[in-house]
Amino acid sequence: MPPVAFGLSKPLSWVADMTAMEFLPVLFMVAGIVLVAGATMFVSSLLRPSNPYREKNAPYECGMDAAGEAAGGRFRVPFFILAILLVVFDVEAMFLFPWAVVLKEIGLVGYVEMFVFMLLLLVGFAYAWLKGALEWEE
Amino acid sequence: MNAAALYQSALASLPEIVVVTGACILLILGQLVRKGREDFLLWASVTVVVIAALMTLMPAGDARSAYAGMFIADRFSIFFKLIFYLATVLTFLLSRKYAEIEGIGSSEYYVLLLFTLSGMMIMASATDLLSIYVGLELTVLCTYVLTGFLRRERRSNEAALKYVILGAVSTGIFLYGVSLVYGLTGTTQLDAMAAAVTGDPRDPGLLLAVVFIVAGLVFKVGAVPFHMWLPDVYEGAPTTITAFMSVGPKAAGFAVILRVFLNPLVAASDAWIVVAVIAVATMALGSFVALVQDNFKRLLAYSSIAHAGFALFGVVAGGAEGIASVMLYLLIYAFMNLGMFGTVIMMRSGDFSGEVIEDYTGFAKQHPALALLMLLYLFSLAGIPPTAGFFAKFYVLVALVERGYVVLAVIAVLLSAVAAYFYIRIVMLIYMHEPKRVFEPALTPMVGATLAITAAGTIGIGLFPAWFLRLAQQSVFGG
Repeated sequence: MPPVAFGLSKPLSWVADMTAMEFLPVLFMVAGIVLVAGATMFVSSLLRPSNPYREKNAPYECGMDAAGEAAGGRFRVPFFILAILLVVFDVEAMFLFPWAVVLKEIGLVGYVEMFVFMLLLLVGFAYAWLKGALEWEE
Repeated sequence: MNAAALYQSALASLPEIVVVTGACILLILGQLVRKGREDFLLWASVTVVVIAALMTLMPAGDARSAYAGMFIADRFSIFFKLIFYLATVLTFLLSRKYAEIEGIGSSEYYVLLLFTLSGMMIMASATDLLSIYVGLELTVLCTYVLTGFLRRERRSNEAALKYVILGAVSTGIFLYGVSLVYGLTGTTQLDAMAAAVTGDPRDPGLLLAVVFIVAGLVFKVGAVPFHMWLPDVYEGAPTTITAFMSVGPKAAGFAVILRVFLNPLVAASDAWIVVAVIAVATMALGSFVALVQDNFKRLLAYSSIAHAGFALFGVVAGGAEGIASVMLYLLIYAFMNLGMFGTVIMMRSGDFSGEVIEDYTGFAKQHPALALLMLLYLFSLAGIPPTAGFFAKFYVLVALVERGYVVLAVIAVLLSAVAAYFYIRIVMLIYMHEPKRVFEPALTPMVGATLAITAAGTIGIGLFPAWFLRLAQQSVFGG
């Protein structure tokens, strides 16, 4: 077994500190969110009056009674296909935002690469369209 | 990265680009082709693979790094890619008739196989933990769907669901290991990782990270203790897909294991002890449990577990000889296992599934030539001398002994003697008993061609093992 290349680069502890420091703000942020959310819910549970009854627990307290299949917690399968199609564009949008922010720095190469990515997504979308996933089947 | 670097990267990954583009085009074309013209899709898919193979072979010179060090086109990856092309093309040829019988001959079947191929190619070429992950996911996502391709069959659905859940868990474990490595070294590149760690290689965090990565990768090749999914998935999946999965994705998993494990960082963390334990346990379990199987596909699943264990011994040996022996093992295994599955797939006709071992009783009386082929593959899987299977095992043992792991070599030999029993048992059934039924093997020209190619490979490597070993040795990275 070949030995580890000792002394070639930075010592491990320094690298570890470096990354730990970089992620410290993230840790603070997470701790802050948990703290604020937990405190809010705890304080409000002490202060608010608690008086649940059937109408209050319904999804639309002051609307019509829930009816149909969805009321029983079941959804029609076509919704599932639509949800999957949403993912295609959701992912695209998710990558488009950071890409647009740094577009100047990454230049033409980044521009081309994003279009390759979008083309691949479009192939998937075209396939779904050809398969009739956009038709609503009763 | 500037435009010139991007151009160089695209050039280095040209085979992958060809396969992905071809798969995308076929995905759309498949919807426009009329029913009953599936032959077009088959030959178009084969053409895509052949073009990619030519692209791969053209620059067989120096190694070219691409995409900022995440990808490399070296001789090591070329060797593995050739195994993948072989497995994919032979699966295509085996599939035509079988898909017709089972009613799964839709265009997606071929397209998904092509996407799996591209994922495996990325795995073989990846030099960064993240690009390994991308290749791994592309491969397994496609195989999840292919496993459940017999939509109306309960077994197939069950297998696919099990595979998805267990696969997702193992991927999560792998990713957690990657994140730990990044936290400790600040990089995910395999080469840079080793350079970044100059402290104690037995740092507990690092050890934990290595164990997680080992667990994630070992799951993909189906080694103990992460083998539970394998028999169920192999039994439930369409037989052609089982044949493909036991050869292609398994070889891809080993390509990644070789790259990760022989990285100086992992090599220094005593991970080989873990691998040695896994190898012994895998081979023992695969060999002993296979003894009591009635279903042919389950038997071959356990046999595939045992073979993975044997190949892991080569990983334990390490060094250039160890790597070369594993690579040769996988090449030979591709030939003999696809041949074995080819004969099982051929038996599927009408209401006869050909999945129960007893079904083969007396096969030699009616079809002596086909029975002889089965004999050849079974002997090769058992590792009996004139066949290639013997040399596959032999070179792994040589590597083990040369590196001083004599005890492991002895264990490996003893366990493969156990494994030989259940192969020979099938030979007994085929030759020593009277037939109970009339066999009607679906021997189409394409299946015949596959059997001829695999038989030629099994005998050819058995006759000229030194030449193929040299080929593997020249392909070892760094050499």
